[in-house]
Amino acid sequence: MATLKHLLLSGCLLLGLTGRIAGAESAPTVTSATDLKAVFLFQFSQFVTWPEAAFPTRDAPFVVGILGRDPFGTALDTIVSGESAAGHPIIVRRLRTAAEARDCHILFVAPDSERDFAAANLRKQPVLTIGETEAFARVDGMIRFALVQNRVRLRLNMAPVRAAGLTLSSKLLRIAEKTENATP
Amino acid sequence: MTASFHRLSISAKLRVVITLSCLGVIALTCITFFGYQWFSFRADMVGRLTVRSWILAENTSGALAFRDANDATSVLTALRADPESVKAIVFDGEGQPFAHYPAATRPDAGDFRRVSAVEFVFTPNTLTVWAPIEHGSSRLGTLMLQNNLSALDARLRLFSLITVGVMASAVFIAFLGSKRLQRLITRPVLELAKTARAVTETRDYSRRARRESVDEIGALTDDFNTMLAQVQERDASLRRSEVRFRSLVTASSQIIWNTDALGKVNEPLPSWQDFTGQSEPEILRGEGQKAIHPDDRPRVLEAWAEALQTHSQFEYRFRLRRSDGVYRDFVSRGVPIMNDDGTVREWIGTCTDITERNRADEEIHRLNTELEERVRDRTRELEGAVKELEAFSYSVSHDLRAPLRAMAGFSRILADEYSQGLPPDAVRYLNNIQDGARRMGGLIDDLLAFSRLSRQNPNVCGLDLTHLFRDVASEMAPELANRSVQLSIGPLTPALGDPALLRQVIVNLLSNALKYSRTRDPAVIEVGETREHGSDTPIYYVRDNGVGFDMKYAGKLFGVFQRLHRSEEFEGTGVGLAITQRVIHRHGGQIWAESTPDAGATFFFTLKGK
Repeated sequence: MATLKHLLLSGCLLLGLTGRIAGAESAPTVTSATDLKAVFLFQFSQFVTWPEAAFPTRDAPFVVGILGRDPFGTALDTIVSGESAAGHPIIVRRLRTAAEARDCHILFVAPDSERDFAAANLRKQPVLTIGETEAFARVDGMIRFALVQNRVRLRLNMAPVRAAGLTLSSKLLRIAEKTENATP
Repeated sequence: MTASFHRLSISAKLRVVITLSCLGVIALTCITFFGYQWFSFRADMVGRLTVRSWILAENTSGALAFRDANDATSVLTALRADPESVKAIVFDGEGQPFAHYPAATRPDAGDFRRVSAVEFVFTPNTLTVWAPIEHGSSRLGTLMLQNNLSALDARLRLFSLITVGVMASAVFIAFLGSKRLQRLITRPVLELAKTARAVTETRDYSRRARRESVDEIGALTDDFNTMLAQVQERDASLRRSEVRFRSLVTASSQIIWNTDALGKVNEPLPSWQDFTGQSEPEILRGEGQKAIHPDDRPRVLEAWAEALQTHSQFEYRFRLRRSDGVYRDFVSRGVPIMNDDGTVREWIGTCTDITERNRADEEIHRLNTELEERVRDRTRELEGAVKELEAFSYSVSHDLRAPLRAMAGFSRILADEYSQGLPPDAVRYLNNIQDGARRMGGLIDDLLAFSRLSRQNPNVCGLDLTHLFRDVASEMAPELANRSVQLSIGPLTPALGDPALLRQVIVNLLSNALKYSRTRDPAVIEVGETREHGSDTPIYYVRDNGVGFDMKYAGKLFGVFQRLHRSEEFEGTGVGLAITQRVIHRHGGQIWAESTPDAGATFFFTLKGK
């Protein structure tokens, strides 16, 4: 599994987990958007800093929560296995309700659960929230995966990030497209 | 190269040396600087690219993490500012190109290198740096940067140009400088060389080189001049000596000859020609020997040939015909003059006219022979006379005894038998007759002893003279009972002699000393020995403090019947010292005396030592 994870992290995994690897220089690298998103979820743990208060204990896990229908299959689990963020082991948790998201550090909100998420009102919680629709920003979602010309781009909603007390790496800020949503 | 350099003149050598050293120094400087430039430029560039690769790796890590190639490309585009930056590529974790600069470039197979830290590689034209792209602990990809080294090339090209320019100027300056140096160094040398050549050609040793500098060449010039002065001095003394020699040859009454190593006459022999009347051509033809007496010639020529063969000195006597035809006696001596290697260079010799000397020698010889003959005759006559005399004195002494014995005997009978009837005066006269007869008996005894000495040979053996003196002195002791005598007998070196005869000598000397010191109180008599300076032979002496004698009569001391004092004063026959001297002479010794009147006398004698 280590090889698979490595491939995923490096972003070179071809569609499916069949093991067909595109190592040849002639073939263009094709990675599925979903896998890429899974990788990005992991990368957020590396490029964002959470306040101390977000962890109850020193060795408390770093929790990546998935709210709603999980698009990643086992890819995300593979990617984070054995990894850590700021010294906390990363685990993936699939949530039934938004209320459970309070213990998460990163929360992926599937489009079908956005309403649930909005209702939960996680504002000011140190949870980096990621969604996929344009509407996500309006419910104070922080980062949206946008597909632009078949590429996964990041849209960043700075207000809830600031409100949640999270610090985004300048490198992340640099490549993300920032929007300021005034909606309360 | 070296050979052709040796053929150059000193000035050309100097020019070459100066120019080459200038070039060498500049070349060395340039190479050093060149190397320094090259290394420092590369080190700078490595440093710069390393820092740059860190910055770019850091700035592209986010783009790589979130797969934003556009962002990575835009980061790389900043390299536009550096015209030497020719290529930059961001590889993802799998080594696939992710972003590159410039847009037109295409990644090659060799562009990727998996590195864990910054690495760099130089090719002749490029410097390539690889740096890992990491975020936190995760490895995201690799950055490759490539710069070309044209700036270094350009810089080194410019530097080479400057170097060539400096070298050319240096050669020019060295060339000019060497001309000046030539004046400083080569002129004194050339001056010296010129003088040396002039001296060699003209043999004029009075020339001197002019001193142009105070350095080693100046010292060399001084030494050369000193050497010239010495040569001049030696040359002059050689000339003087040659003139002296020639004058000597001319002035000498001797004939001086000179031949080469093989005995051939190569120069005229003026003194030979003058004597024999032979002509110069004759001499040079080797016909000089014709003047030698025909009887002597073969032996002389043979001896001469042998001397030539053995290189030994040559001396021969022969008769030589004078120009008037008279033969004169000559002795010729010749010596070979050797070369340093032991071969003969020439022969030189003399011929001396010894006719007069021979005549004188013969005369002396004849006179000597005559003289010896005469001496032998006289000695024979003398010996006969002495023998007769001794025989005569012996017989006289012997024959005198009979009448004397009669006189003594009858006068004693007269005194014994008839003294009562005789008047006192007659008794006194009888006593006088007896005294006289006794004295005469003593004289005769002494004379007989003396003449006996001439006839018998001493019986020689080793003698302890100290002991002998002491023995004699102790025998005399009774006679000295009523006298004050201080007698000292020093240790004496033993000698060879006849004990009986020497005893007589000692008796005579001691009794003389006692006799003539009779008036002294105390009488001081010293027996000892002394030595003449540098001689081992002991000189024994007997010294007294008696009346002594006048040295002008010293010659008479040892004569028979010679007395220096009247017998009324000191009794004696006048034979004792004569006997003493004869004994000493027969032992091969000497005896003599020294004295001052009234201040004692000293008798010295020697014997043939042990």
